[in-house]
This record gives sequence, structure tokens and C-alpha cells, in this order.
Amino acid sequence: MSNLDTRRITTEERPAALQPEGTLPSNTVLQERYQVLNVHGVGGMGAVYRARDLRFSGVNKIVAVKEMNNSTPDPRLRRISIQNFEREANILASMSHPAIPKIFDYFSEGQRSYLILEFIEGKTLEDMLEEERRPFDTEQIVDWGIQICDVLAYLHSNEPPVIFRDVKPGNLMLRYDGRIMVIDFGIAKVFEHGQRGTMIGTEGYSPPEQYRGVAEPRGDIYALAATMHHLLTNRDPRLEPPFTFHERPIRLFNPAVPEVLDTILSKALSYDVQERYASAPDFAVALSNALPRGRRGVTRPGTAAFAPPQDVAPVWKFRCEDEVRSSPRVADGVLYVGSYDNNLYALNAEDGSFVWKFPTEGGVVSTPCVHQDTVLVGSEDTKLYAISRRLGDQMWSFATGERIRSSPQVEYGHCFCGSDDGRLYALNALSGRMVWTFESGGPIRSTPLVSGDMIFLGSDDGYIYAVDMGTGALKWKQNTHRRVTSSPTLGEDLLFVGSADGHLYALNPGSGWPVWRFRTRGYVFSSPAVADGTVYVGSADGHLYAVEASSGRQRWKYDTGAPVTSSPSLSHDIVYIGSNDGSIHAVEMKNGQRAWSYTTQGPVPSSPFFFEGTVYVGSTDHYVYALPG
Amino acid sequence: MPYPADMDARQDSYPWQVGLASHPGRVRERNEDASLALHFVSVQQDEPPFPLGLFVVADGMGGHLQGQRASALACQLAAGYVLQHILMPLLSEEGEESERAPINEVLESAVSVAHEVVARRLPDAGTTLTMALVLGSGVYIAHVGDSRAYLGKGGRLERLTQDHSMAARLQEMGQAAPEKLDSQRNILYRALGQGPRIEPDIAYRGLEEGEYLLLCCDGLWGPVPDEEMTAIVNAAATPNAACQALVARALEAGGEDNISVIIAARGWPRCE
Repeated sequence: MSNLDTRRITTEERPAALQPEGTLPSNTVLQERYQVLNVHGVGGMGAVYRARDLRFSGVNKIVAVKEMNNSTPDPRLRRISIQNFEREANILASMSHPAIPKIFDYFSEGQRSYLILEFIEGKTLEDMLEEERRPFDTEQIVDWGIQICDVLAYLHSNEPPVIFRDVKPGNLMLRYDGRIMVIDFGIAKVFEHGQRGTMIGTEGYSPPEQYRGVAEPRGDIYALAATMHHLLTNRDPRLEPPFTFHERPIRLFNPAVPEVLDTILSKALSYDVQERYASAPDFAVALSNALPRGRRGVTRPGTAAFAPPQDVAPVWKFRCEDEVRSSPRVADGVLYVGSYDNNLYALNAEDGSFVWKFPTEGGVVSTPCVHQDTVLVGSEDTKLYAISRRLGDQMWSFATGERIRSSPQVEYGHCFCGSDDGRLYALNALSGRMVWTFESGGPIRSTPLVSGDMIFLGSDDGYIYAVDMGTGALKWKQNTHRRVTSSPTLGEDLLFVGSADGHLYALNPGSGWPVWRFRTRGYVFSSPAVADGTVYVGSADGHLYAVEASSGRQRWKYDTGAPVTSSPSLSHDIVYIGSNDGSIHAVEMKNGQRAWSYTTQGPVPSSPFFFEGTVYVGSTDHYVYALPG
Repeated sequence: MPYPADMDARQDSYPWQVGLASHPGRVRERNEDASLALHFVSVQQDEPPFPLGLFVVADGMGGHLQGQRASALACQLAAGYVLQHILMPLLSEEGEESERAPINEVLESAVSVAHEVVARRLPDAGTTLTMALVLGSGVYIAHVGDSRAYLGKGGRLERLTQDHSMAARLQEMGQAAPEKLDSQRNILYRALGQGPRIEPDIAYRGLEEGEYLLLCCDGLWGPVPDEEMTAIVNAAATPNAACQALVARALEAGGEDNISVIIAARGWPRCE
């Protein structure tokens, strides 16, 4: 949406002429020698032109003309900019390095000053980032990093040392021959408006000490590492609070980066100058050791090929006759879980021993709901059953028009459950008598959420619904255009639910208005869980996401390697989730690091259930597992 | 005579009250702040009153009238976008059929549109922008720079925004000595109209009965500490009187910068 609008305004407001305001027209000749061909770029202080040096009449010698417009009315600012421009000229004149552009001339005409420089055919890394919009190849970045270290070492070895002070993608140019050039020795990007009050400073790549006016070689090392971080992650540091690189570990955004390179860049990005590499050559040496010769990504012997060793051993496991997609529930020491073998099982939660089973006529994928003396569950035989917890026999059943995959919820003596027939049913929990139904436009597999006098649910017709609990009347609905199989959750004054459109939605529970939506790259069938201002949800893109509840910003993501349709279960510091990679993953809430995982023999669409220190989960390998939480 | 209890409960009074004050201060010639307050309420059928409000404070920077223009432009554009994409559809909506855009995306677009235009028209200027959208019982904040949004009730004043200033950042890092902070205080690392793109902080909060929103620029929160603001607000008879009193206090403390403040209250404690 924002792209579209941005573009529209740009075309409306920009004049038709291609000539940027205040720049020299083509064919202007400066000093009777440099014929302007075209504007090459426009910077803060003036333009850079591509020009022809007429002194060499026999050949077409192209030069770069860098202009500084010193017409600013503030005399102090004007003095500073002229000084900076002269300093740039003087620095360049005393340099001789293949990665630093040669300077040919320096002069002023009217209110403008000019540098005549070697014209470099190529692209800045900033332009390349714009084009690529994805992380760069690791080997490429390490190669460039080493090249830049070489230039920095040359600059720093001058007497007195020259500190570049402005290493960033926009000041690094890749020539067509693959060599990196360092351009723009202008620095002076300090905005000083010479008045009290709010000012604007540069941000992103600069080291912290530079904000205190300290420029020293290790500051350039920081800025180079910051640039490499940007290129490897495609995360623009100018859009982040300063000095927060450590909060965006490279491997989180680009798992292809070897850990050793991550460590090297972290060191170079230390807040404290003393903790960085002592010099550019030291940094270069470290970088050259970051990638092993030949191919990167060493395979350690013994990690693959055979079944991986398990991090944890199950407390017990119980074998059903078919897949277990239902999620277990535990009450009073008894675990209830459904299986594709048509049964609802009651097991001893402590040791997994069999208590009873209740046969239905279809697969049980619905999650059981415990209410007083009964346990309620839906079956693919179209019926909702209420079963005595003590004996495992039927109290009542209620037939819907289609299979039941939704899970029943009981509140205020009423049972609410969806069906593939498109209806939400409200039944008397004791008798199974129907009180009302609510009809949606598609199968309801989402589990209804009852809160106050409202019921929230999703439907495969693409809508999220809010229904009056007493009457079943519609309060509001919000379209997501794709199936909403995920079950809603309330927390932090918001309603969270996933959709097959790939988003996790946060809605205002009163009005249904989306407060934000968070995009993943796969269906979100998983049902969110909320704790301490963070929402956790799985996606078919293979990740478990942690998202800030108030803003919809990603806190971290955890890659399981296969689609996630299971829903997270939370202990006080761990998120548990199943994945189609066959494992149950235990992930640290605070940082998204793996605590442990346990591999079963089949995909795990079942949602784990954390209860009193134990994680209970089913697997398509037919087993129900109890794992130590 | 007290109303019968049931009648009292059914009475749909509109408890929202809003105040605004802006002053150039004692030192600056110009007021580079811009502010905007807009609110209305809709009462339909048996539903409780649904208040809607849009409140913006922007503090411009940049020489030669540019700062002033930047804050005004940003304020207009961002508010206009929100009006067009949230408030207008709400008024024209038919039935329950809903295709409503997520509010964070609308707010992000509003700030981006303002950013694009300011960056192009006023390349040497920038502005802070703190915008609060009240929809029913929730408030949505979009924020760039070092103006602030607070949520207050009684003796409590909670800050909803983070300053995008070097000083705040260095303080978070726990690295800067206080005397060094002063020179860094006014340097922003994120400002509307500056940099390649803009990403505002967006946040949502529920608003309870008796809570008030306070938006202000650093001309107020700089010289007047939070506790003092709370005391002044609690002593005032109306939100407008509170805004006036806050500005007066900032002027008393030197008034070195422009001062702008908006208070939007969901119910106002009766002053004895």
C-alpha cells in the first residue's frame, strides 16, 4: 500500500524535466576544460557530474566532477563546508592507492567549488542493496571486507593517520572488474544548523565514540563491520536504534553465515573501542580465517547420516492404533487424547498406563475439553460426545451435519463447538440440547474462544467472527480472504488469530478492527499463544515466531526446518511446538534459542500441552509422548 | 436529586475532554511546532458511545522557516491520510461487512507519505511526529523523534514512546556520563523527512475510564519533570486548563524551546 502511494506522489510532484534543480546543464564547460555530459548523482552539498576533459582532444577522457554549492546564507556553515571540501581535495592529493580515486584538479567558480576526480565505472554497494533486497553471499562480503581493510590500513598508516569516518555502503563502489573503491572523502555529514533546539545527526554505521567527537582507526573498523552486517543481513542499520547490532545476530537473518564470522563481526562491533580489533590488518587476518579453504560450512563427522542423539528421554510413551493429531489435555492426573484410530483415550498422566478408551465412528482430531465429570470431544463421524470421566461411557452425543475437527469449549454451562457443516453450535453442557447455532460460509475447524458475552472464532470461509454468547447473533466479522483454521486467543486487550493468507492478526476484540497483522511466508494454521506482551505462533514457512503484542514487530523467529501447523504451548520461560520435521521443539522465550528438541518418527501436527512440569504431545508415528518440560 | 440507578447506567454521556496549548517560548522567534486535535463521538442504537480522536504533535527542525514548514506539512499529511483511510470509511461503512485495513499499516503509510513529501520539498529539514489515534476504547500511537506520548491516571504517568535521540540511546546503553548527555540531547537518530526510509514505532494500548493521553514536545518534557507534570494535571479543572498550566510552568523554567501539549482525557476527575 505504501509503495503505491509513494509512487503516485512522486510522479505528481516531480517536474517533467529530468534536470535536477540547481545542477549544471549538459555541455556547460568549466575552466574552459571540463565539458559536463550529464548529472551522475546528487548529494547533500551538490551534484556529481560525468564530464569530458577537453585537454585530451584525441581521446575521450571521462572524469568525475564533484561540485559543492556553498551558497548557504549561514556564514559559519559555509566556512565549514568549504574547509571540508578543501580537506577532501588535500587528502586525495596525498593518497596513492588503487582503491582510492585519483584527483586531477580543484577550483572554484562563483559560489561553487569543484573537484575533478577519476571517473569510476561501477555501482555503489548501496545501489546494489537496493537492487538485491536480500542478504549478499558470505564469501563475496568477506572478500570485499578484506579489500576494504587494505585501504583502511593504508589510510591509517599515513602520518598523521587519515580516519575515513564514513565507511558505509553508499561510499563503497564495486567496479566492473570486481574491485572495491572507497569514494567520497567529504565526511562532514554533521548537520549543524547553528541554533539551539533539536538537530539531526547521522546514524547507522558510525561508532559510538564518533558521537562524542572522537575519530580513530578503530572507528573505521566498527563502521566497516556495520556495513558488512548490513550486507549480510539486508537489515538497514539506519532504520534501527544506534549500536544495536548485537540485538540482530547475523545468523538469525542469514543462517548461511558461519558462526565464526558472526563472532568476528561482533568483536569489531564492540561498543567499547578497546574490545575491537586493534588495527585494520588484524581485522583482515581474522576475516581471511573466517572461511575455510574450499567450500564453507564444514560437516562435522558423526552429526548427520545416523539418527541424531536425543536431547531428552520421554517420561513415558503410549502407542495408539493410528496417528495422533489431537492435542492432549490433562486433569486430575488423567490425560485425554484422541487418535485417528477413532478412539478417545484416557491415560494415567504420570506413567502413561491405560485407563479407558471410548470408540467413536471416525477419527478424533479434536482436542478434548474437560468439564466437571465429563470430557467432551468431536469426531469425524460428525458427532460431539460427552463422556463420563470416571467410567469412559457416553453421557450424550449430538450429531452435526458434517465432520467435527473443531474442539469444544465449555463456559457458563454451555458447550460451544464448530463443525465442517459451517455451523457453530451452542449446546447445554449437561443435556446436549441445542440452544442456538450460528452459520458461517465454510467449515469451522477453528476452536471457539469464549470471553465475557462474546465468542470469537474463525471459519474456512476466510472470516474471523465475533458472536453474542447468549443469542448467537453476529457482532462483527473481519475478512482475511483465506481459511481461518487457527483458533483465536485473547491477551493484552487484543484478539490474536492466524489465517491461511500468511498473517497473524491482532484485532480489537470490541470492533474487530485489525490493529496490526504480521506477515509470515506460509499459512498460519497454528493458534497463537500470548505471554508477557509477546505472541507466539507457528507458520507453514517452517518458523515459530515471537511477535511483540502491542506493535506487531518480530522479536525473534526459530527455524524448525519444516512446516509448523502445531500450536505453541507455554511454560514460564519455554515455548513448546511440534513441527512436520518430526520433532517437538523447546525454545527459549527470551531469545528464540533452542533449549532442546525431541524427534519422533513422523510429523507432529499435534499441539503440545505443558502441564505441571511435563510436556504432553501426540505424533503421526501413533505415539503419545510425555517429555520432561 | 440523584437519578435512579438504572437511569444513570443507561445515560450515554460522552466523557471525552480535550485540551491543547502551544507557545513559542521565551527565546525562539518562531514556533516550529505544529499540533492538531480532532475528536468526535458516535452513538448508535444500543451500543455504548464510540469515541474517535486524532491527536498530533510535531516539532520541526532546520533553518530558514524550514522546520516550521516541515512540522506543519507532516502534521497535515499524516492526519489527512488517517482521516481518509480510517475515519472516513468508518462513517461510510455499511452493515457488518468488513474489509478494514490493519491500523498499523495505515499509520505506517501515513508517516511514510508525510516523510516522502517533507524529504523532497524540504531536504534540509526534519520533524518529530507523535500521533495518537483513539478508536473506541483503544489508542494507537505512531511515533518518530523525541516528542512524547504519555498515559496518565491519578498520580501515575506512563511514557508510551521512546525518544529517538542519541542521548536516550546512550543512556539506554548505560554508557554516557550525564554531562555528556546535554550536548547529545537534541540529536535525533530518527526524524521524519530524514534518511532513506522511515519506520515509525507503532503501539496499541487499551484506554480505561479516567485515563488521559498527554502528547508533548521536548519544550515541555525537557524543563518540566514527569512528576511535576502529573501534579499540574491533577490540580487542573479541565484538560485545557491543564495544558495552559503546563505551558506556564515550562515558560517559568526558562522557555528555551517551543512548547506544545495536548491532553485527551477519558473522563476528568472532578476538582474540589
